[in-house]
Amino acid sequence: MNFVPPKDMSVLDDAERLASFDAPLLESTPDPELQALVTEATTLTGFPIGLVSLVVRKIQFFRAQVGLPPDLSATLATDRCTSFCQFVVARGDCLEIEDAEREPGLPRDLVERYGIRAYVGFPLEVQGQTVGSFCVIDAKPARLTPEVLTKLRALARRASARLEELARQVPAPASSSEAEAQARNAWLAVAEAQPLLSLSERYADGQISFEEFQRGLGALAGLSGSSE
Amino acid sequence: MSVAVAPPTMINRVETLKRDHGRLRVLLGVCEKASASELPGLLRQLHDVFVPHQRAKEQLYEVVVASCQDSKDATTLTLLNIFRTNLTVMSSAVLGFFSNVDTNPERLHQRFRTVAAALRSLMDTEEKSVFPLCLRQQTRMQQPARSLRIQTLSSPPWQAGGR
Repeated sequence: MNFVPPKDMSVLDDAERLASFDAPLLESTPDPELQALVTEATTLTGFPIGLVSLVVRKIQFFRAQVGLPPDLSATLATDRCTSFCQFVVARGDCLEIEDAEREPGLPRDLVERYGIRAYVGFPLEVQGQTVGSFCVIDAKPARLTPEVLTKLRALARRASARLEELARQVPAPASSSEAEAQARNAWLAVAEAQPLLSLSERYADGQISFEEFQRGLGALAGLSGSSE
Repeated sequence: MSVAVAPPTMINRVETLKRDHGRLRVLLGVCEKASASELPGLLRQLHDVFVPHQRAKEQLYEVVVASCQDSKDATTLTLLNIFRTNLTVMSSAVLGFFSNVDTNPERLHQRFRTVAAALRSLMDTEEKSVFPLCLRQQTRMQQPARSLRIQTLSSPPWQAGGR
């Protein structure tokens, strides 16, 4: 038992940090370069799940993923408050969890819903802001060697560089006016609601079961305002 | 003299909403291809089509959810409540986007793509799942009445009069 949640989580809602998120970052079309990096991370570590997870206002959004269950690969998101990645952002540093079952300081939701046990995440940075976590996840307890951690950190840096390129595809705001912030927040509300629609669409297409549909909705309960 | 107007049937409501979807899809395509100077004006048009359409959908949910509650159909009710929540969450977000248009044309275009994708996804799901659920529920509600009528009409006269 090692994990103690940071006392100050206010950086998550910092306006400048949230201003780093724009359309190319929250796009759900896969980015081949980021996909290749998460695949390499799972090969390197032997962990089955690899993510480029962007910790936004209400959700964590998976900009690239490998190994997620069907409901999460439909939504590409969970509530932010249940994520482990939020702590990587709040700390601005690596987070290693050997066995989530033995860490009472962690949120329980994803442990119980998806059986997450081991987690290792490195900060992802864009325009000087920590926007998320480059992480690997396992359903059994595990620990990575220092050599593997070094290589994983290097992959995280490459993912940050790619995210930086994507972020530059949008013109930077000329000023930080109130109107501009409102326009960005209004767009962000649409972008963050998208996972609910993607999940419903996948269910309507018969690609996920009713149980998976409900589990995916449960992981986004904060977004839909439902408490299950 | 006032003339009583019959409330629209479920099938009429659904058909009207499907036609609205057609109009919205055309308008979304036009917005995506529009020049930077045209987009803000087109977004106002989109807003004007979207607002009454969204109200009509809320009314549809009201009617069909009440009907499911009467028939105690828990699964359909759960599904309809999920889709209804999606509509509420997304409509509120989209209306916020329409009211806070970005002044940078290039950024507005990029961000609009998110909105267009969200609206298309919402409409696709409604066409594949919500509308069929509504029509099925309508059919179920009509069945007991219809079977009762058939039974009555097909009953021999001596039965109708009682033994």
